[in-house]
Amino acid sequence: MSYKTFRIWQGITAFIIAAAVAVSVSFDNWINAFAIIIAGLAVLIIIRSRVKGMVADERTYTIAGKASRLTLNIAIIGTALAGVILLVVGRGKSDILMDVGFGLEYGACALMIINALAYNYYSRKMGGKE
Amino acid sequence: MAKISNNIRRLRFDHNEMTQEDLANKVGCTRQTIIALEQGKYVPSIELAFRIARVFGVNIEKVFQYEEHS
Repeated sequence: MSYKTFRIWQGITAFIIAAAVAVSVSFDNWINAFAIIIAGLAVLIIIRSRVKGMVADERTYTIAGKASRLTLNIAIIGTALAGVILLVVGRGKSDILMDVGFGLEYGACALMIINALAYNYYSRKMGGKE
Repeated sequence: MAKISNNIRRLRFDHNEMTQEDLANKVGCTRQTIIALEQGKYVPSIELAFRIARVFGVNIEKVFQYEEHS
């Protein structure tokens, strides 16, 4: 199997898993959802093992790093902004909106803390600290 | 502003028209990376640069050139 075919099958499998999990969750069938995720991961591993040549290399990891950084920035800013909006809108009017707002703010803080810890870990591992 | 260019495409053709796939297999990367290198869209790690130079049996500076523009 070529890398291009692998990418197509990877996308199709991910789509099917996501749809199947969504349907299972909507029917409150959590065991099925869990089983689908495990089966899907197994299928992805099998597909990956059939690819000739390399699937991932340094360029792939560079791209993944950049994509992760962008995703993290968007997630932190988006979550924090949504939290602030809910806090402003819900202030003195809705306790639920306030609770969700605080939840989102704490979530944004948790993301920043995890990111800082992970950065510190890799910085030490790669010899950036004295 | 600095730019790193390379002669990978020419060197491949000079080596019995080696395919991108062959080069990728020899240096241990994907064909997409070789394509990106030849298009000048990706600058390799120093390790990959050395591996590519070794496949062609030349000095690293025969493969990659560092050009500095002011």
